[in-house]
Amino acid sequence: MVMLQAYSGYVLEIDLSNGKFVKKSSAGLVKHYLGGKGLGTRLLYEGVEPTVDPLAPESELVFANGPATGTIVPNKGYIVCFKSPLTGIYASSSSGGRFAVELKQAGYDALIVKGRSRKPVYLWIDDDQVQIKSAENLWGKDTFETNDLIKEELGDDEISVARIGPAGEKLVKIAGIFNDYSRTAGRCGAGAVMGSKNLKAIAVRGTKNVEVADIEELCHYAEEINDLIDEEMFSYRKYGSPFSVSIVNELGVWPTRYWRKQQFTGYKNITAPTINIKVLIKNKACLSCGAHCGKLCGVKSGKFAGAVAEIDFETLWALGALCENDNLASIIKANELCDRLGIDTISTGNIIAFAMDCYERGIIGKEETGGIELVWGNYEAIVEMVEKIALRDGLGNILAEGVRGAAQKLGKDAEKIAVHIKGLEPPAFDPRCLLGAALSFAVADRGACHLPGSLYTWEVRGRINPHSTEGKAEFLKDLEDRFAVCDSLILCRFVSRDIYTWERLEALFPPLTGLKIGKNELKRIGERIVTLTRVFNTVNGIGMKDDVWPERFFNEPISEGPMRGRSLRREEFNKMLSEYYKLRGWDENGIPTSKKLDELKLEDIVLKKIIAAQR
Amino acid sequence: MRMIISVYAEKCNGCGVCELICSASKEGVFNKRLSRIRVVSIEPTIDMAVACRFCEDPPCVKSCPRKALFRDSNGIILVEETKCNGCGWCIEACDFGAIQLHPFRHHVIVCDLCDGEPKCIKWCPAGALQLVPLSTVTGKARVQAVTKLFNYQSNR
Repeated sequence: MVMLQAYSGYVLEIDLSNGKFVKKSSAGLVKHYLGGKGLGTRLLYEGVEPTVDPLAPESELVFANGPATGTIVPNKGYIVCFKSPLTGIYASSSSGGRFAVELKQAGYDALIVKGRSRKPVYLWIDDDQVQIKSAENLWGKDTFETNDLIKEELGDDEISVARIGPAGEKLVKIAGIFNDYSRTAGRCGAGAVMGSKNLKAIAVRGTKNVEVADIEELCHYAEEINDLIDEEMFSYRKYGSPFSVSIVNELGVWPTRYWRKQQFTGYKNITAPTINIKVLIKNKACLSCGAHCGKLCGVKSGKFAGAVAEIDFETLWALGALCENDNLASIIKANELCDRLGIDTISTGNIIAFAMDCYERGIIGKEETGGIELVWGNYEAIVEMVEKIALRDGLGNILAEGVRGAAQKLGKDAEKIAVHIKGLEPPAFDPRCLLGAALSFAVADRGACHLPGSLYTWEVRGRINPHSTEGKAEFLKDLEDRFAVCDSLILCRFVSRDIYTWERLEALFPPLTGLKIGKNELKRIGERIVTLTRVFNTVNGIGMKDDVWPERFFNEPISEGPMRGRSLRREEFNKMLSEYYKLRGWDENGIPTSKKLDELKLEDIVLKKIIAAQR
Repeated sequence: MRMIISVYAEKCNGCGVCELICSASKEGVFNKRLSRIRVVSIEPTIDMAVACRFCEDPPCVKSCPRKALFRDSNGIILVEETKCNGCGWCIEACDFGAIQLHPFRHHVIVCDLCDGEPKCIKWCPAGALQLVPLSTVTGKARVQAVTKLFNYQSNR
């Protein structure tokens, strides 16, 4: 058997219910699933019933890194795969920083955490030594304090700690997992799963070498990628993802006033050049990557002086434009609070804007908000609401359930305006203006998400016609398959979009792992991973009825701006959707057919799950 | 003339590429603990790489009980691996943490400027590293100080 390089070779499984750990080989799985998202998804599927209660002891968190992790090929972080308490379906969430590298160098391609500890604990993985330590004096502490205290207790500042804040402890459905300074696996509530296990943190130190098949050749490959980053990612390096603010707003596709309008009048105060002049402290970078696109920002004066956060496009939108808030300092403060208390900025911003809409319509009032005037642009209110949501305080207790959960509690009028797909709050793009994006978000595995397909980029940059459905399904399938592979290696989406093409991915394997994988086989692997996530969702009742935007996007045309008059049209949307299903080999309800499952060699585990579910 | 790897802290982003290429080129693997240049990150604002400064009167050489360290004419510290037993006194003597114990062998490791063309400098994506004599560093600092002064005046 060919020994694969670039992998640690093992999966570590820890059961918090009985304190036992098991080390298993990863060799069999990585051939068909590569690592990262592929490996994590497969392990999740094997480890839990897809119908498991996300917050029950039987539920699992699967952290995975990839063969590129810890090498000089620009790569990014770890992925955690789990069943989401927010959406009730499959989720994966990624995060940069050191954690992935430390875990790999400790000797693990993946870490599975299952069970539930009786008391608050944290894991200490020190190369081959694994310990479960008390976290009783850490419970209740914020993510920054927890990081510092654990590193102090263990006596090494270079340890990487993935932890939850008070939000995760309180099972806030939008709680994330935070590692290193403020790197975040934010979406879908991974933090709540961790909190439900009484697991406060995972500390890792790994000293082992990362060995690859041909290190010289791999360095040449990395040099080429770095040259391409220099040539093509100039905007990212200079401005970070915030450079999109002007573009997206000017196009008229930037949702504001909780999805009612598509251009934000205050956008000039939160553009990238404004950020660089007013609040930028320095660039930050992911390990190994020369794009250096992180923007660490700080507030120098005024009410929020001292606030520091690494802000990005989505956060500027969710806690800014969507709430009609153009106060940059408050966005940084709100971002810092989200990091500190442990919640996802995209969901939080969506939820606060939703609450503002409810407030305007009289669905909630001052009694519910505890006196806070939840009006558009009230940036002080935004900052206060972040805390209330993270700590389940007052109205925050309802909002902590996510937009769908909160709307259910607030009644029919609230449900009519709530914007989500499969229970996940969407990112910063209006689907009425970008048809490919509309399809992409609707079918994404974890709910309304721009990342699995990332097709919106091509439409926003004007590389393809955003108002046509022509070829969108086919393009989306290819992108999703390619990015599933990238998420398995693990390669950053910003770099993957234009730089890690199928050809470059194919060329990466020989010097990295020593194994040659042809482009067609790679495409097959991408397809396999996407289909497996779909199967997980299918068993949880997901079908065509869920692959869709809320009614309002079909019934309410855009009323002003460059995109005036546009709305989603059922016929058009359904045409793209059925084309997509056909290309994927799924039936007219979006369920993978047996033929497709056989083709992708998925029939074995799928059958077992279906039989178990029918018992 | 004694050259050092000068690190411009304001440009360093802690990406760690220098560590990766150093360990790759010296040891054939990726592992920051085998890199002769090490990133120090004091979150969230401070990132800076540190390597040997090739001191004129190196404390590491002086402290070695086995005379296993030797300073050559360019200032590079050479380690006689057969003599070094990893006692670590040189590590305690160095003010910069620039000389380290190899994690898997018994002897210490330190930057040797890669035979005159340091890889880290070539690879740094931020251009934060330069191979320069100290006179250049002080000269640059003077220029920066004066420029800052005049910029300040012109903003008034």
